[in-house]
Amino acid sequence: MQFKVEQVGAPTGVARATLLVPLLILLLVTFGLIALFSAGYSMSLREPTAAVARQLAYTPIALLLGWLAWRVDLDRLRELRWPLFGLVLLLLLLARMPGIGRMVNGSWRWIDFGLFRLQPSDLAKVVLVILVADHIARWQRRSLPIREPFVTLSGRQPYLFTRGRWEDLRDGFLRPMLPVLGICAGIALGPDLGTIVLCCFVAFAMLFVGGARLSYLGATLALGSVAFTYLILNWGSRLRRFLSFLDPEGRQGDESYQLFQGMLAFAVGGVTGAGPGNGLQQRAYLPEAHTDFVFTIIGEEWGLVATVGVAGIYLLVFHLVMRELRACTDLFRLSLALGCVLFLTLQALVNMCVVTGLLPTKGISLPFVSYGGTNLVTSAVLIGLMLNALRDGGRPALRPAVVPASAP
Amino acid sequence: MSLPHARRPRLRILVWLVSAGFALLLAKLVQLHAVDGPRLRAKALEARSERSERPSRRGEIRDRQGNLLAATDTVWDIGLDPHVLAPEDRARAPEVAARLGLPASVVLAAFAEERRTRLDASGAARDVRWIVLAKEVDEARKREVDALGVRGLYGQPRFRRAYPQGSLAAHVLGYINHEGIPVSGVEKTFDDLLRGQDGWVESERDGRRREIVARRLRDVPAVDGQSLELTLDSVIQSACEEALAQVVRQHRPKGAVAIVSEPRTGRLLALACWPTFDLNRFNDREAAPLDAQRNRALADIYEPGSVFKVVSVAGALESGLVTPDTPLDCSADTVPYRGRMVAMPGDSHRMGVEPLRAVVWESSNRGTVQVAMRYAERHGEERYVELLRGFGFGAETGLPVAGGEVRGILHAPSRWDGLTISRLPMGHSVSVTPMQMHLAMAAIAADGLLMRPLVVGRVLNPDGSVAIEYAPRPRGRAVSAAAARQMADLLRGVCTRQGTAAAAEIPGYDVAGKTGTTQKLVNGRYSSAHHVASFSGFLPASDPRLAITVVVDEPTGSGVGYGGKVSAPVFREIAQRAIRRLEIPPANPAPRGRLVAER
Repeated sequence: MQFKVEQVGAPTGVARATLLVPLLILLLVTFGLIALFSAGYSMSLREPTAAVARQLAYTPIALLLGWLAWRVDLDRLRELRWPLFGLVLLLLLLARMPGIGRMVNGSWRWIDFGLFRLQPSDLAKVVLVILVADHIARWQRRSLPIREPFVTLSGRQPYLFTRGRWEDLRDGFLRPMLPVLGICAGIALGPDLGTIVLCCFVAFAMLFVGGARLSYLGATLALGSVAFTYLILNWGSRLRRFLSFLDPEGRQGDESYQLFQGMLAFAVGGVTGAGPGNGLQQRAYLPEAHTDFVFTIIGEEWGLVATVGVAGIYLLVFHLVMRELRACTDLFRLSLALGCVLFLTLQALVNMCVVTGLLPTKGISLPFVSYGGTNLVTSAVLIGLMLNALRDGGRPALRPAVVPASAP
Repeated sequence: MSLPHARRPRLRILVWLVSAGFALLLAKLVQLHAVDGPRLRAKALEARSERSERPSRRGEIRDRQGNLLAATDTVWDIGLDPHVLAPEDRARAPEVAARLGLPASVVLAAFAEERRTRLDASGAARDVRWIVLAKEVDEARKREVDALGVRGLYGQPRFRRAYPQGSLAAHVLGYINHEGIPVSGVEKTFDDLLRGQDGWVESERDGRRREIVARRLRDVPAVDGQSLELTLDSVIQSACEEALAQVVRQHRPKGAVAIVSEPRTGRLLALACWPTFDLNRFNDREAAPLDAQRNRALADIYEPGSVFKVVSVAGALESGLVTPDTPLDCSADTVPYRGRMVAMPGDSHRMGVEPLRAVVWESSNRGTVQVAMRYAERHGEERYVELLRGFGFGAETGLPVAGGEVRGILHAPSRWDGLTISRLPMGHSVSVTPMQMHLAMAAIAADGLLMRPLVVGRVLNPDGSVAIEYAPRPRGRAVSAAAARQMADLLRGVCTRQGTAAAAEIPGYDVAGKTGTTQKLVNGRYSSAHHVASFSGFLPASDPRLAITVVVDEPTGSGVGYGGKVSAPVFREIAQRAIRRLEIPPANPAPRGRLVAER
């Protein structure tokens, strides 16, 4: 018996991204380890290599989990989305509990499991992507062009708000917003404003590409901007901190100390860098050189060539994935891959913009490069899921129609 | 179901937006790395670069026995980095104040939150990283403060000049002011040697201001200053100062000077001035008024009076115009001189025709003037002044002690008036410093050689090796050796019962010397109430090892301040202690010595 598998659009074979992306990621991890080697001196003068050793120890774990994410059955995972959502909310709540959660830099973001520390917001990112992608694929009917025009040719005034329109709004837009809001609320317990903004942006972009109506998106953007502005203005010292990035040199004494020192690192690096191991800005000038400001170490030691190179790698990964996406036929997998790559790219972009003074300072790390096990593992899982989705995305969107060849 | 065709543009828009973000980042990176680079790089390197001084230690000053006269201590300036100070330590300000011996309010103010920044000239806030709390805290107190464990409290070491002997030889040593600039004394003259060469370290530091040793560019070690070993003898110096204090108690003068040196080498053994001051408190107007800081031996001039007669007599002896036995008519009121009659000065008591010997012993003005007149008639007045200059008058002595030395006043014959020839020989119409007079007398003792005065015997390197050794060196010959010996012989008689300075006699030693009593010019007239009493002499006369000069300015009290009455006892007091100190054997050997020889 023969089966005819209908190919809808995508080419067969291993996608280019599947080969290139892991290689590029490996390059990033290497950069991160070298930078960490330099930064080790500012973390512990006695054991400058301890951080590198710890980060190296996380690498196989990240590889394993990334591989699992690559091999996992996405449809099975999709079915588990609501239990996962519940788990994430629970973890986010636990992180806020004194005694279970840990406070770092005035923010509850960590759960200490003794052996390792988990940042629930990282897990939340993965779940968020699955939930939104699922919704886009499930409810795309609701985002098709409006069936009931406002003006009819007959001249009869239609109802402004019909049942059909409400169902469009509810199922096409409000439904996915609920889990997004839930996760954002959970992260806000931290609080971790940077991650909230990132999650909103990614969800927004996914809905945008997924076909949500521009009127809904526009209204949401407007509402979100108002809410964000309100938060900034009324959140104690936020405004001052928020705006301090505009004048790092003038505020180098307090709010912008770290930012300004980071900018100095780029300047010292110049075009070709001071040389590996010769960077000094991380020597107690930059308190968080190994995590959020790791890009500055690269800038100082390797110069413009390396910073542009690193930024270029992220951009290249993004473009490679976007290219593959065009051939993707399955909307769930397309959205999933899009969400994953956006989390990586936007997080990287935001981090690099922050340390160069283009965006206000937020605690957002550079994926694969910054020190930290959860960061590495989460990024690897995102990449694994993305490649997983791309691998299967080229298949026919519908279950392959099994048609006996002998049928008439 | 694939992405609806209509949504493809949305994907493209997203790609463009993200790419635009990266383009913006690229522009910013180029700006940071390359465009703003040089300016910001200079800023970063400036913040990192560290140039720290390695202060050198100033050399010590010791006397010739090695007793420390000037030393360099390490003291600490205690200050605070308000950014390192922990908030919980703010409450400990009173403790810190107590250990530092400061009022609590001062430390509390320094510990205050608002002292963390200050406004600079342009009104911008600047971080304050150093607030000085106490200066020049000694080692022990610094350790007490350290023991408190208050973070941010640091000590900055520095050197402080200290004079362990206080006022001893204050005018010879001089001092360093608070700016480190030498003001007077050998501290000033030998500053080039005493001062070391500061070293420095050029390096980089990290954000906590710790030096990164691997980045050290230059490390120039400090070279400590050289030490001076003076020719002074602390025992003789303090003998002088005590003797002056004694005469001050008795006669309440305005000032007094005592100088002791080795005549044959020119080495200064002691130089004492009164009033004096504590070198460690030079800044204290009460304890050390400027008047007390003046080196009267170099900066003050006086009319030397009879002591000066030595010079004329020695010159006349040298040229053979007189011998100790030459008779001189001390009763004549006028004497012919170069075709005119010159009025003679008065004498304290009338004398007849006396031999030169007696003229010197009894210090006859008329006799001495006639000797000088003979000299001037035979050789000319110019040569007479040259004779005086040969003894060092009218010129700086070359004693390497900075102290506003003056040359005194010795007029050339062209500026003489009719009476000068009758006044100059007896030490009027001429002004000298005590040091000049002392060296002239020392020249008689040193067989007519005017020695260069030495105050520094050796200069030692920091490791103790000898860098410079100052050997005795004559400045010139004042008179012939024979004349000097004859003169010394005459001067021995002064310090006996027949002379004017019986009070200077020391049993067992033959002392040579000359008294001087000068009326001071007060309101243009010689005053009979204001005197300078001086005595200058040496011993043993046959082989002089000590020359001592004592000048007492305006002694008051018991009648007229004759040099023999006021200064000669001081001379004797100093000489006796110096003899013991230097173990100078008496001229007449003690009977015990003979016993030993017979046995």
